[in-house]
Amino acid sequence: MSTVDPLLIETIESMFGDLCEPEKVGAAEGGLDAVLWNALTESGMSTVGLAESIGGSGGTLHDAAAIAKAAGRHCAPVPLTELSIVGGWVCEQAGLQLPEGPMAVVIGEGARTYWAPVATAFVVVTDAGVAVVSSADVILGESGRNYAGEPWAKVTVSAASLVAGPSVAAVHGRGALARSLLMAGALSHAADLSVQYCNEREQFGKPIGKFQVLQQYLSQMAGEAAAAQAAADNAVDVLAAGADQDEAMRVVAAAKTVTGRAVGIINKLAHQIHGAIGYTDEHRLQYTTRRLWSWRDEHGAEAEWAAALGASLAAAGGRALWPAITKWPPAAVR
Amino acid sequence: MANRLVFPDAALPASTEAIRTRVRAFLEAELANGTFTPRADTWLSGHDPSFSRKLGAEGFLGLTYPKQYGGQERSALDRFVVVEELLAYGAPIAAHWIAERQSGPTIIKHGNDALREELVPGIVRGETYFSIGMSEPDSGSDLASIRSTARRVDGGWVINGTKVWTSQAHNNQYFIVLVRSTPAAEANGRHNGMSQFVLDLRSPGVQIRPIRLLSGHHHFNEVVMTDVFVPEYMMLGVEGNGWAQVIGELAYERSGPERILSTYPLLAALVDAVGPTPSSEASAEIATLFGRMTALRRLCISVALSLDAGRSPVTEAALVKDLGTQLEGEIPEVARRLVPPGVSERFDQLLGDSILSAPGFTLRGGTNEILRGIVARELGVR
Ligand SMILES: Cc1cc2nc3c(=O)[nH]c(=O)nc-3n(C[C@H](O)[C@H](O)[C@H](O)COP(=O)(O)OP(=O)(O)OC[C@H]3O[C@@H](n4cnc5c(N)ncnc54)[C@H](O)[C@@H]3O)c2cc1C
Repeated sequence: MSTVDPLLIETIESMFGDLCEPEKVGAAEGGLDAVLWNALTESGMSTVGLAESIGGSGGTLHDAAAIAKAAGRHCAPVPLTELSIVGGWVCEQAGLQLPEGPMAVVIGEGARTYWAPVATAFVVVTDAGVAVVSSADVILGESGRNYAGEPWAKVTVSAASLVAGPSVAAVHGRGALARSLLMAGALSHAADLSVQYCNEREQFGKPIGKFQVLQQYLSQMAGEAAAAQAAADNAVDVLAAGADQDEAMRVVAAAKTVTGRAVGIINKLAHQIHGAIGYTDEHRLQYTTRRLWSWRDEHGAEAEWAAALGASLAAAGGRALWPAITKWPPAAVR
Repeated sequence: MANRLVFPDAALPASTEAIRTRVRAFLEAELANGTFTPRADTWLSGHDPSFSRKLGAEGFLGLTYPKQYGGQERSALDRFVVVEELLAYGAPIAAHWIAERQSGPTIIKHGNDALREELVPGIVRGETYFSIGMSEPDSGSDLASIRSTARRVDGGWVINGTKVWTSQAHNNQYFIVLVRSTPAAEANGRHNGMSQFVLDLRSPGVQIRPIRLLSGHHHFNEVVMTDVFVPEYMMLGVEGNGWAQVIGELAYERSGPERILSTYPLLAALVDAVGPTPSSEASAEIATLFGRMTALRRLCISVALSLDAGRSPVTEAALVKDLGTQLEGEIPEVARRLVPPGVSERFDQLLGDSILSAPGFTLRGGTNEILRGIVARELGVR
């Protein structure tokens, strides 16, 4: 357990609030929003949670996680977590200085590298070691965009001097953590937007929120959003307490599985509640739901993570299950 | 921000580890002795007075109660840990369950000194058991519509009416009964004029009739009260304030680990039944249940911490109970998909218990529809 300074939350909320209006989020599709990116880097927000010794802003994983959740809530059209949660962490572990500019993380060969088309710095993770290279040292191959217009490309690295660093599997896990945090934020936003719409929209002479079936939907959404948030928070607490590799895999797998599963439930209900207007590009809901549909598949969908987690639980056997459950969240020493 | 539900940080204090170790060691020893076989849903159906007395003797009951009445004045989080261990092990804890969870605390809060001294120490020893006397034939979710009455007489009250679905009334000595002490027509609003009494189920005028469950088990009862005399000192709290007292108990009743763990013993058995190297589909299904359980447990702990800090997270508790009871019901559905009948006797028994008790999970203690209504009100749409 660790508390995040309310001032940090306030600052990041107001920055995203000012700079992530729906039109800006829409306009940034296919790339990133340079104004927001500059604001994040100039204020040091993009490297909160990374050691000052490598050029980060300092602070804890809990701080970085709070910022990541806020980014998800606001649909921030920037590769923030590629730096703050994934690539920056690789640099920290490997003792490499943080490079300037938007970052993408090349994890293994042939995988999609999220945000590669707009990145100027690349963290390369291989079985033989890790490196930081610039755009000059990489070749972009096949490319595309996720459902939300966030770009990716397959990347071939032409030159890199590798140093010892986290494994491919470990960095994949950091990616899953990042997406879990983004999803936790975005899921609660989809639920909040739905509450708001239920109070605004009137049919049959009353706000649609007066219909009991929609009240039940909203309650279910609040529940799934809270559970997703709890799964992501468990992961942050366990990693911050210094989990070994197997434990880290398990807790990230649980987070990615629970948050990813919630997307199917919450997106469906959010769109049902919003009616036809929510199905259009005019309404802001779609910025959130398209991201959620994308993020649940990135860095391993639920099927992949749940299978890995389940294999580990089954190998340990039924008697080990309860001790595993009660290990999370770690106890607080007061 | 629309969503006003809050689940602040959720770490149990490290000080709870000692009692966890102790209760686990106790349960392992009991298991080894064969005192009990793990079953599902044991907090409602595993009525075993000798096991309850053993827990009392070990000091695992009434942990949070005042020392004056045999308690230990420990934190609610120590109790949380003891209770979740008992549930996870599938131990038979129904005899003392209601008494220890809610009747004792209600009596301590609203009962007078004589009543506390008479009843609370027995609860702590695991000897005095309570049922809940709320529902009536025509009053389920709409509890405020109850018709049972209390009429003032010399030295106390005379109670008339019928309670139903009274779990374990045939095995327990008492229940706390909610009745109208002022007729609805004369009360100032339908939530006024109700009172709570401790009623000795062995009193003259009490008839307890079994209502069998679909499984054939005798769990439910109909309790008919005909001119039952209850002495004045057995009234709880203030005359006419029964509704508020009942509502105050709800956060305790709804947020506990029993709302996510009723079928946990089946989940553990499922992990063994699929073997050490299950298919990736089976692995994924088990992991999804595990992931949700760990997430919901975090929410449970968060509610427990809020309660311990003196807040009243009624809505959060309702939300967790809605999610948790759904998960409890899904565990047997997944289990039966992954393991055919006949693989192991233990698994089959836990599966059968779980399937046949599942309908109750989302009804008892307030239906999930009612719980969602409570959440919706907090969200500001009702
Ligand atoms: C295993 C078990 C143990 C129990 N033990 C006890 C006990 O010991 N003592 C005791 O007093 N009671 C006990 N109960 C009773 C329990 O409290 C009631 O079952 C519960 O309050 C619901 O009431 P009901 O069964 O009459 O259903 P009803 O209230 O008749 O509900 C039937 C259906 O209608 C829905 N419904 C009702 N009102 C609304 C509404 N406003 N909006 C939307 N949907 C609505 C419900 O959600 C449900 O789906 C127990 C129940 C079970 C299942």
